[in-house]
Amino acid sequence: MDVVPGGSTPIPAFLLRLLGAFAMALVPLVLILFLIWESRKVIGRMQDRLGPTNAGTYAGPFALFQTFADGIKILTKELIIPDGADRPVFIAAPILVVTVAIAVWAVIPLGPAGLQVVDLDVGAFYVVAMSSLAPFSMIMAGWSSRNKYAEVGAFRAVSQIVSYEIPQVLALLAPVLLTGSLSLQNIIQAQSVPYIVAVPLAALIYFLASAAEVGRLPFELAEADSEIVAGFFTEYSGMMFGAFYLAEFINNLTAAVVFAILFLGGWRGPWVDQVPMLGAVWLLLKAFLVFNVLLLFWAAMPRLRIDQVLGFNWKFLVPLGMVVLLAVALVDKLLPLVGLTDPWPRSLGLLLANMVLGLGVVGVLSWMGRRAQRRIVRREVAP
Amino acid sequence: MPVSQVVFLAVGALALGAAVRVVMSHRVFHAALWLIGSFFGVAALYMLLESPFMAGIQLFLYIGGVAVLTVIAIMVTKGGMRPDRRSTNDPWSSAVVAVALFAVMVWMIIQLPLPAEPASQVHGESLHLLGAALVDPEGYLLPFEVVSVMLLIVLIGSLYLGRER
Repeated sequence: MDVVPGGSTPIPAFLLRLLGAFAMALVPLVLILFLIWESRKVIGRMQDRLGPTNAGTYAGPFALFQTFADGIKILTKELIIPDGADRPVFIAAPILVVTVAIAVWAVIPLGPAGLQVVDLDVGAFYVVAMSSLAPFSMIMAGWSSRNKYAEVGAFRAVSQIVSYEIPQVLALLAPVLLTGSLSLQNIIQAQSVPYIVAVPLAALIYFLASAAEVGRLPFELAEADSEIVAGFFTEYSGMMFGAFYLAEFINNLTAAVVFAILFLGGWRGPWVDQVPMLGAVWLLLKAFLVFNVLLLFWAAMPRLRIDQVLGFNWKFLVPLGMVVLLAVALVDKLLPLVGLTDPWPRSLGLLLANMVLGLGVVGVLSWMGRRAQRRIVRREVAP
Repeated sequence: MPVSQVVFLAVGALALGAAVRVVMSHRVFHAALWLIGSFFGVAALYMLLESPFMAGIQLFLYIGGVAVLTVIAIMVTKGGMRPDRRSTNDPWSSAVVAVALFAVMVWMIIQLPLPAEPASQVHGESLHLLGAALVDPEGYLLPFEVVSVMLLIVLIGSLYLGRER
């Protein structure tokens, strides 16, 4: 479960744990150095640009070291704290945002037993609980800046994240239900067929909700740069801005990794039994795929209005999530009665139920939407 | 004193200190932030008591729910976020109420016949046991269902109040 002690001299268990935790905390930080470069390149290409090409003399091939250059530059910048700002809160916000972003990685299983800091019984729940801390760093940043744009950004962030938490949890319950455990390790072990085959609707809801949770376009209301400068971190400069930037990318990566664990089978893949370390490669490859879908959204989507974003959540995702959860529970109980217990038939049965359900919900909702539209039109015409 | 006990006491002291700051803060927004700190301390205590589920519930419900609601209430209150405004009024009557409530709670806890020895030696926790107890007719099925019906009523009630007329 924990880090396996190596060598003959026993090292204190808690020291090993500390080392393991430290190593794990470095994983997202190191990956992000590469992912920031990658996303800038990809988005550049999508927007008919080259992206970063060189950063002085030592940029390396394809400006691979661009992020290092940016990082060093940003460290030399002055930290400006606005005159009217609430100093302690203003300084605490960027610290909190990075802490929360990294803390989630404590329960991420990089491979079969051993490649995880701690296999919590309630791993999936821990992930959600940690992400519910995220709005506070935004509120703290937005409020302490004493800036109207920052405050508007914070309000938007809070309303959006609090709303999207509900479909996220509802969708997360589908894999938990199918596994019968909240431990991420058990959820992965139960996926001889990835859950995205069995419960694609839940996967879709989870993906959209976590895109909203990490503030990726089209849900990027909290920092909408064309409307409110930079949202809740308008007033931040130097490395304090860097902390928000870093946390945003880490959150994106975490969302992708958690999605890969819940629905794409996590570290499962060929030859993992022989070489456990290979699990990390599979997991990160899957996560990389999801991350790039998020990038695609980022480059291709326009920004929605805040009422559209919230309406989409409350009028579509939440009802759909509730129905999916009920249906998954029911169908999963009914399938053994007709003799479908093997992974593949079970998954296909659930898939069928999901498709019927998806079509049904979309049909009912669009019918209700049209009815509401007609009522509004009638009211506006009649008096 | 073993290390774990020292850590426990230290975390407890931090949680308590944060709670004191909640009451002493003049700005209501600072009080809300200290409240979160206090909740966080309690979650850490649960974690030290080997109950990650309770810690998760504490984070999710109290910080993700109660504290967020508190902050939203402050946000939508006129002038609630203004940093130059003292947002406390008459601490003494509040203190009387709080001390009275505390006394009642202490009295009730003293009345409880607590066993001197732990009822059973459990390491960690079993979510399966908890889940089974919640839906077991011999266990807590009735209160569980009553609570869920009540929450449903609250949900429908809020939808009724908030519907378009």
